[in-house]
Amino acid sequence: MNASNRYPEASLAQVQALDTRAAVDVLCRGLGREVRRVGFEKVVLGVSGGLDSALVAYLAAKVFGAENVIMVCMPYTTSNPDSLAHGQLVARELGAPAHVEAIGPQIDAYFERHGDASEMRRGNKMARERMTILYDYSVEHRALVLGTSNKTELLLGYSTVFGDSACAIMPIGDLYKTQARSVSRFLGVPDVIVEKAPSADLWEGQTDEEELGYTYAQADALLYEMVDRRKGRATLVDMGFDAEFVDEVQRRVRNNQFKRKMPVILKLSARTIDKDFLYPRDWTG
Amino acid sequence: MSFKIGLAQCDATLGNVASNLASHLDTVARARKEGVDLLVFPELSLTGYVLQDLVHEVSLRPDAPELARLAEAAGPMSVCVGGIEESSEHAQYIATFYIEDGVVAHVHRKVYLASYGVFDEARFVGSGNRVGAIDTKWGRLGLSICEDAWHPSLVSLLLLDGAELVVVQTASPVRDLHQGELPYNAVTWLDTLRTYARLYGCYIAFANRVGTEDGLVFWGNSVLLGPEGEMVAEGALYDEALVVGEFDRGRVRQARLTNPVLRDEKLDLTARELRRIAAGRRHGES
Repeated sequence: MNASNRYPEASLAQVQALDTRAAVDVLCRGLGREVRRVGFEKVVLGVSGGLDSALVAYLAAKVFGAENVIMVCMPYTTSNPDSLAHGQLVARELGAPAHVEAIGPQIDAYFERHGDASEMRRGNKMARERMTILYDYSVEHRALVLGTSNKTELLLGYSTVFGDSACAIMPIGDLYKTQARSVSRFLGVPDVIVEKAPSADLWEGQTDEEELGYTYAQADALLYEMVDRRKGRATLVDMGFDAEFVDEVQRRVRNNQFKRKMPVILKLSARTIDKDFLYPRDWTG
Repeated sequence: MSFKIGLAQCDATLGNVASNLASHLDTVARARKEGVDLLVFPELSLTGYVLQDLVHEVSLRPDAPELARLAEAAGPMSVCVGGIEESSEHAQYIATFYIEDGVVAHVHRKVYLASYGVFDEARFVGSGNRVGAIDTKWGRLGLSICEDAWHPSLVSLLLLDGAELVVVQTASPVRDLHQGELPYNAVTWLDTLRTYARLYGCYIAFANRVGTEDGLVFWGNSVLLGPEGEMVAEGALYDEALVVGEFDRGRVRQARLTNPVLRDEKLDLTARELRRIAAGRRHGES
């Protein structure tokens, strides 16, 4: 981690000024309406043992009742045992069963033929395997798939496209990571989950902040000023952000735009999906 | 003179006029039971807000049977209902249909379309080009739709044209929820409306949507403000409600005696200077 990724404390204070009670109120109302509008009463999500999925599970339990929240823990053989324990803790605290689907056998079966695959390929495969399980549960339980990505990782592209990014609704997709932490505390997510170092848990000892090269506090302070407050590079540097840090984050946000969009369609006809065939997602009313 | 104003703070089913009409009829019946004289629905109450290409499927002519049903059900009660108007030239507009004594007596087309941030209205509908107060059996009133009221010039025109009540239909979603219970845009809305009411000594009937469309959560909190900026009636955040309060013409008089802003307006000066500024802008001067 680069300690020189300076940021003005005032910017982080702005991020943290969010009224958590009001945020929970808006998110719960929106989530309930969006799920019920398409005829679902239940939701399903992967509960990794981390903060984001715990928060989504708590929000969903508040809206639909824990009995209507299908929580699936999907450990791989090298996953930290704490991850499964914390996923089960979330389910226990909410008073609903944790479904455990170990993904070791199918992942190993594939990589037996690709023994030289990198950590990233393995991590991506696991994320996409978990996605297929959630979509299978979705049909079995008639439950809509909730995503657990937060705004920080969506902007930085810190996700596997069509893996953990695949879902019907992202309830916390407009909360920065440090805000997700405050909201989790407000909702009573266990301290052991709120306080541990965020990790994708794709390999042993991995932490998000180590891999990204900066802390979530640093990233959130910068992203807030850059995205929410539309500040340009020169202003950000004047405010006290390191120029290199600004450039690196801007590059990541730009290069990962594709992960936030649907695939490109090449236009031929009079009316093309997503270009001039424009209907709301909630077309069904 | 006094009469009862009702603000129908409601949700809508996106793109489904039949379903929304049914809930409008329920609200109309309820409002009549409560003795409401003028009932105000939010912006696009008959259609939902995030319509995009659906505007072509939900548009209504002022003589549409759906509006006739509402007019019949309203009886002696007047109703401001929100929808997409289709003109005789087949253009679509975001509109307020003002229903009185069995007919659509006036149509206001939204003048200032919101096409920034989360909004993209100008892509799908045309903008109105007329502003003026209208005579109704409840006195002279001004109709405006959402972004219209973020332009003080438009609100001023309505008041200079004699309105004592300004109706503001909105579909305002949560934006910039930050410090405090109210999203930042709601704070701006309420401050702005209160300022209009106080400066001009008028009533403001602000009816806002609730519900969620495409991830936008509409915040409700409809208000009836009195001519000293006082809160006459207020709806809760986010929940459906029929908010009822009294319009009292005596209070308008009282406020205008204390604060004669309208009396002292220099219309010729304003018109002259506006012509000068507009001519400068046409010639590319700032």
